[in-house]
Amino acid sequence: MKANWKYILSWLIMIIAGFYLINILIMVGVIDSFIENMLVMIGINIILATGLNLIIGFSGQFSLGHAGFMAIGAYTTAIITQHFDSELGFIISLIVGIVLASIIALIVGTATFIRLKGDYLAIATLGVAEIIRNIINNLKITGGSAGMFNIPPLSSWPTVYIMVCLTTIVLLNFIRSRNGRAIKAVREDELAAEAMGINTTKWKVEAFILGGATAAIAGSMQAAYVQTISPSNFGIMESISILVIVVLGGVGSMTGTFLAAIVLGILDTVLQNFGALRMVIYAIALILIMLFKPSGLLGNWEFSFKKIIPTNKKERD
Amino acid sequence: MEHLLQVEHVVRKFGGLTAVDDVSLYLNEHELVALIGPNGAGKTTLFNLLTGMVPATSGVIDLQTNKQKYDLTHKNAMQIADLGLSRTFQNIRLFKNLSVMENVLTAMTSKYKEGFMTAVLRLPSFYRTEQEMKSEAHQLLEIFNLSAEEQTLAKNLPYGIQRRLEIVRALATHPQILFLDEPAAGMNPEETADLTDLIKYIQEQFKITVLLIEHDMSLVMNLAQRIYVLDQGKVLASGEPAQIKANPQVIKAYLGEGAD
Repeated sequence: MKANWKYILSWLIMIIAGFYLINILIMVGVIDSFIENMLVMIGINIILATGLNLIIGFSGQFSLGHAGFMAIGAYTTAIITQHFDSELGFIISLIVGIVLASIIALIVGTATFIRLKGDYLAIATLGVAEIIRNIINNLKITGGSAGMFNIPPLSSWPTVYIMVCLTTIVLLNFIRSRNGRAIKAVREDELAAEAMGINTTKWKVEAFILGGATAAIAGSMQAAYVQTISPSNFGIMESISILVIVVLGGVGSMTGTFLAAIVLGILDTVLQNFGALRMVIYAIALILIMLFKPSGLLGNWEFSFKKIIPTNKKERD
Repeated sequence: MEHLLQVEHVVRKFGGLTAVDDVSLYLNEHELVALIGPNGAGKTTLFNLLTGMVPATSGVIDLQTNKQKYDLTHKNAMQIADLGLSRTFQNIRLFKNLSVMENVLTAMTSKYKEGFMTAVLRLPSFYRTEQEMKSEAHQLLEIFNLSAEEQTLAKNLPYGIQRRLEIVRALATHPQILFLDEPAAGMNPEETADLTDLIKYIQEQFKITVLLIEHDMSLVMNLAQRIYVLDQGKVLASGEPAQIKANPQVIKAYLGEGAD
């Protein structure tokens, strides 16, 4: 127990230091609203991509429907906060979004994971995301294809920063427990895992629910920050761009996901000055990284204070 | 007397092929039984039937334990594992990218309860459960001389040690019956001798029943209290090692002349 406090404290210090660093840089004027916007988008992408990495990298299930869960969170927040324009309304909308996304993930996961794997699962999850998008597209309460405007601005960079920390802590704690070992075993060898008494479907669905719930959080953050959402924000291109972050950072490395989200976020912002060439340069950068580092920027390497701070208790890993 | 595991008239067909054809056998408590036979005799298929990896076309598999009778015929692999039947595989199926320690801990997943919230919020009971699991895993690894390799990824271990780890992983599920599918495959005579001692030790120390498939006759004859010979999906003969060695049918079908 004692040895663990050191690491918990190190993480806490890092989180608080990061917060104050950004705060000071904003006050001094180094971070203008343009860069602040970039930071928030990076934060939202981190929440999305770490959740997807849990599904793809740790439980080994190929999902292409992440944007669907994001849409659920975004629209829940938009609808609820338009009626209850307050911090409390935002928190309620967050929770409702998480619950809704979890229920849908539970239904979709149970229905598909029993029978489908790999490419087929990817297509099925893609289909589910498109169904969600089409439902939103055709409902009155969601504003149809025009989307929703004037969503109360209840999210700002500190909110996103806190949510990034919270979701990351939840995901990492999940991975570094009996739960995480079970889902990794399922990824490694499903048949052997079953022979060890592991309920493979249950664990796959659990990871899928957790991933979906974090995507809903990211959606809520986006809706309350950007203040405008439309169904076209949550199409297949959004799912793929989240997938790109995961693959680029390294499938199975949360640290890699952080790094890739930051690198791509900065790249995207810098390239805005290049006009039409932007997408070409972006694509070339992706191809180059994949050519020279096929396993992603960090492979499956993870940052850990335990590697930095020496410990005399050998059994702590 | 009631047998621990009773298999009656089990049949498994794959299309037109009958891989296991009307096999009946039994296992008693604390018994070490071998299953031998030529390649393609249906030995591994029989293992897959007993551990629920493949459903039987017909027949009954009964487990008699804790004064209760369980029909395993329609149970899946996970439920059967929970009832205390554990196995290794002919082609090693470790969790390759997990460490030795994690491989063993994973096998304990269903034996220790640890809720989602306790793990995510890191409640005190999380640390307690983890501590218990780890100390049990430590003990197991210690017994099997794998302590030094705890943090090594399973895929980086030498072949013989991978086989040993697979047995340790199977033991971590607290089995009553351990199925070993060709544990000595690919081992040299010295390693095989070590393995023979190890299996004997496991059966005695852990007080479990072992059923093993093996082609190495020295290991089988040294270890087995009883032997079943399978040929073309059928039980060709069964009995004690001495009887099997003298059985002319077995010699013709499998052992060959001059076998000892």
